[in-house]
Amino acid sequence: MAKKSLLILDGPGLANFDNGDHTGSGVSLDQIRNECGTLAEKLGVLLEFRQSDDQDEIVDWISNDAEGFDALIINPVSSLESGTVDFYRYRSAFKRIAHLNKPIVEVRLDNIFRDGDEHGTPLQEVEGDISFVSGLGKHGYLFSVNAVAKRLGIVVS
Amino acid sequence: MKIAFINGPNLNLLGTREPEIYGHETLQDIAERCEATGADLGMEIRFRQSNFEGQLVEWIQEAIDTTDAVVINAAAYTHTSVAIHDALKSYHGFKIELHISNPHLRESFRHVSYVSPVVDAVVAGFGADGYAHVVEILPQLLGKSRSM
Repeated sequence: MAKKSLLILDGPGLANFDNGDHTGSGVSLDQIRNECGTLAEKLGVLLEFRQSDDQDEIVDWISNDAEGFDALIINPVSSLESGTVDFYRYRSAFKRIAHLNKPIVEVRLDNIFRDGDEHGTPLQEVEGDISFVSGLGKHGYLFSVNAVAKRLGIVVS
Repeated sequence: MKIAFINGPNLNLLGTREPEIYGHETLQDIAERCEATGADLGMEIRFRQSNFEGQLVEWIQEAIDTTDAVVINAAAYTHTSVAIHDALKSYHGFKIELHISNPHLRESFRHVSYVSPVVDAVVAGFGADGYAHVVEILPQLLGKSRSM
């Protein structure tokens, strides 16, 4: 059986960051990708990482490319809903993937709901297999890869 | 490592109540899965459920200074309870808000959470498996990672 493939999209500003996660240690996107890669190898899934500072490009990837994968993991960063992107186009791109019954996970490094630290709202008004993880830092990505793999029926011996 | 799992109203009906949303697994099944996985990873898990708001508050208070982390699925009280919000503020271990479904995809009255602003992390929409996934990642989150 062909290996399951996961598309992992990161939004504006995530190419070059040194985010202090809750463990107090800085973490870079490269580190996250490396650790996800190691986990994916263990799970026997394929990962494709993409990042863009251009919100429209992210929406294009969701609209045009995401359906070629078995699942989508996305950290849209706050600016996607508050920024210049056409929100209806953004949401309908997700709707298409959700209608194909493909798991979608929205990942946020920080807890976007924390008091005085609101960073926008999670995806709403889309029906489907859409889950949400916020505030686990880099572990949020590992959590998502692991959870999606299980959702896709991958059993780790 | 000691972890308190605190579950709110109607979760005792899991497996029978709206299974298309919440799945067929019972809370007892989930508890057993968490305890077994936790034991494998060297964690002592105390898994409880109540339909009473005050009981949930007391369990949060009891967890102060006796546990390393609290995982709370306050269910419907998530969207109403200032008392649970206040109790969680007094808990200084690691706090995760957990939901079986994704409240943000449901009725607008579920979009507000009194729990989210006072926890470290929110995990929602992974079904009953979300519990086991949280157990699996806790050792890494609490900085006592071990090779698995």
